[in-house]
Amino acid sequence: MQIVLAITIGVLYAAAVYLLLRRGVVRVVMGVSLLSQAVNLLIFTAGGIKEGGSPFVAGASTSLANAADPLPQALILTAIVISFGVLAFTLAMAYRADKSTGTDDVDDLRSTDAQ
Amino acid sequence: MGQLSVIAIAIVFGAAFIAPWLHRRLGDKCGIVLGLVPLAAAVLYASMVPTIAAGGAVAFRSEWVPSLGLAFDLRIDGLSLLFLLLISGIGVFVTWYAAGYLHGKKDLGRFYLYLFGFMGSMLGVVSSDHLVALFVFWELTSISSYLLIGYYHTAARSRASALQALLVTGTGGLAMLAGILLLGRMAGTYRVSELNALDAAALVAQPGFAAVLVLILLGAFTKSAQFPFHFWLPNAMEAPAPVSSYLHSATMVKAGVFLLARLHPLLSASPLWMPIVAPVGAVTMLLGVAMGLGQRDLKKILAYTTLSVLGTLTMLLGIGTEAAVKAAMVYLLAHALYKAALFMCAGSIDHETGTRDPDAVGGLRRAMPFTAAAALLAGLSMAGFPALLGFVGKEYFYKALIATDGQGALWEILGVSASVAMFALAATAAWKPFFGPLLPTPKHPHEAPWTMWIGPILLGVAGLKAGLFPGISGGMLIAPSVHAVLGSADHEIAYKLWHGWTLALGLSGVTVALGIVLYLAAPRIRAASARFAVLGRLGPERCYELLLSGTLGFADWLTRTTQNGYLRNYLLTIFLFTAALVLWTLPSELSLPDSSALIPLQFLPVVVCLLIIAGAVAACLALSRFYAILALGVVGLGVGMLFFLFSGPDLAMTQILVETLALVLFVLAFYRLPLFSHYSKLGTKIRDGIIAAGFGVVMTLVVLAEMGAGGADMSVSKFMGESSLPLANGRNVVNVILVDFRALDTLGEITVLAIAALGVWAIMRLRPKNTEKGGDK
Repeated sequence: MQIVLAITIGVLYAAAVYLLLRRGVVRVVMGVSLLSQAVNLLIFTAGGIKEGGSPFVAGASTSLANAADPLPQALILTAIVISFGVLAFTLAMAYRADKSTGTDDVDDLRSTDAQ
Repeated sequence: MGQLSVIAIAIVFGAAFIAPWLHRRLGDKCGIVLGLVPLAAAVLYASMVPTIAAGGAVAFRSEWVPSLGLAFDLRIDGLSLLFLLLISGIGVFVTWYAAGYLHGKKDLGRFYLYLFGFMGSMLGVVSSDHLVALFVFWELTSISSYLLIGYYHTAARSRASALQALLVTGTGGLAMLAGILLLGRMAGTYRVSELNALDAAALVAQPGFAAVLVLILLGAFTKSAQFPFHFWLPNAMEAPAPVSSYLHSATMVKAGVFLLARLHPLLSASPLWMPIVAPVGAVTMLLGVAMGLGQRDLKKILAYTTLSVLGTLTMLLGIGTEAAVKAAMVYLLAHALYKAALFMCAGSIDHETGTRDPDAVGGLRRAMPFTAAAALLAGLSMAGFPALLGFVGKEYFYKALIATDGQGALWEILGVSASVAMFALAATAAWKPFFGPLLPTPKHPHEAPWTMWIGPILLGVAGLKAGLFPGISGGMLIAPSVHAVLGSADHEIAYKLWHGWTLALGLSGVTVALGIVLYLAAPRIRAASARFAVLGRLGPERCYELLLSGTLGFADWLTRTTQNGYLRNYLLTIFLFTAALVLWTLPSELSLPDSSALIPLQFLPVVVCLLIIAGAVAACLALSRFYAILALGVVGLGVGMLFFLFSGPDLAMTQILVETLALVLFVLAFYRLPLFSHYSKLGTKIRDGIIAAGFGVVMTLVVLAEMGAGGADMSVSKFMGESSLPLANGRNVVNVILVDFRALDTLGEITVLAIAALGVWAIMRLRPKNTEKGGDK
């Protein structure tokens, strides 16, 4: 299963890189979105994957026995929310850049000065 | 008495900062008031003369960074005092002179700011006992000199010359810093007084001392314009005359000579000292006068003779015998007095007649009697006429050369040649403009204001007095400085005007006779020199220009190549380097997870993974925005499913919520965004596809390596798991981490979201003015 997951993460990275290298600004935004999915999964697997071991403290016990590592999960939870904020912001930027400059080609957005 | 040395520097720097204000209040008269500041400093220094003449030194120490051995150490001995009196004394006259020369200039206050900044730095250089402090002041003189040379900043030539001086002396300064640091490490101290007291022979024998010597010499040679770094000095004549008079004759250019003299007891122990320093000095000495003969500009002529004198001083210190050092000190004092005066006279001629061509001015003695008298006194000293200090200097110079072991005759010939040319140039600069028939000039000549002739006259008289009564200046100034340079006081310094009928006197006679002949031939040499101008284009200055334009060209190319503004290229660079660096280290880390730890393949997770892969590929290939959103949604929900299947219920919930929101956002936004356009060519797409695939493979390997490595440090997770219920009273450990253990992170996260929301709101509400391309459609 781990190998399938590793390949999946690799494909997500590849797709993200490919989209980030495009010139159309919408595809770049999509690349950013895919990249954050890939990174989240990478961190998720870094803690070692486990089935049926949610990080809950059960019953009278006061420790996690045979459960998934809670720390990467906490980090990813933050990351998911932040990447949503980033996505919203980039989309707004792409919209404004298009409206102000009349182009969605990032090659045309090479200078802060009006050309 | 130690405090006096700090007070003197402090009042000069203080004056620099009040100068602009004073200029606004008093106008041109501020120069006369400001001249009192160096005068006060000179008086303070003069009060130290008895102590130092008796063989003592004035020291001041203030700890700066004791743990690094850095301290603000001042120590004034004979050598320092000679320089300090010259800097402050000539500073008085230059300040007054500038008041007349730059009369009515609006930015005179700025000029005085630079000038006094320079003066204070120079005082600091010669009184520092700590090499690092000396370096700091040294660089300050370079910077203030840059500002002063570029004072006429609207003229391109002036700016180019200022930059040239800064780059040449600045580069040398950096070399010197490296030399100083090496020396400090080797010797274990940065204090000059301690360094000079060390066992020089043992230190010099250490490996790597040659590097120390060469680096420090580079600093001294660039500052004192020694060949092949001489070219910046004549170019610096773009500066106003008071600057040339002060910096480029009497003080700053002597800083290099000062450094050679300061470290003479230590560095001259090196076997390389004499073979490097003496020939470089000799070449500069001859080159200076040779090029000076061809000049048609009084200031340039004086600049080249300054070069020659600097070469002479360097050569004498390179020879380094007792007689040579004595000659160097007398020569230095004589030169500072006469050259400062002559530069001011040349400036006055320019100021009053409108030309500096020696062939175009003549007979000015009636129109400018005081200037003529001053120039005559200074010129006689420069030419080496008896009764003036210049004569004493030249006698000692010849005596030192005669006494040099081995190739004495060679040194004598070189020395006499330089002195003959010096005589002719002195006559050109000081006699030619004032005597003979009156020549018509662009401006009707009349005497300069008193501020402009008082300095040259007094300096000229000082040269005469020091020549006539050598015992006074000799005992008080020269002897202590010679002792400081030689590092011991057991030398008898006989110092007098008349030495009897000696070989040196004979050489002086020869010099005068040949000098008169050369002076008479000088106009023809000047006329012929235009033909050799092309040679000047091949000199070291050409190297400087090529190096400068080469560096600028390279920087331009590098910027255009690396900072090209194409987002894709930046990203490409980042991805390729990341992949390359990972591949560099990965093979040693890579151990695939062993099969027993692998979770067996199961139907549901594999299907989810395949869906994610399909979604990612579809997102890349989607031809319309609708399919792209759909593909992204598949990926997002698939990732959520994976979280759910592998024990991350909280993650799954958040992911699914956020994905739903993101989908809504995309749908809202995409229809306001432009349609998919197809910019890239197929070739580019294939290239990017290969790079992306390669990066994906690298990341797959990273995931595998990380799973195979296993055994991550679980202590933090374990602590959080165990403390979750007792401390935070929560069973969901992920929640507890977010809201209790790492609550501040979550607060930060909320803040980021709030800022993003504000940003989105602002961007959407923004209505840019129609100045931008396209305007707001």
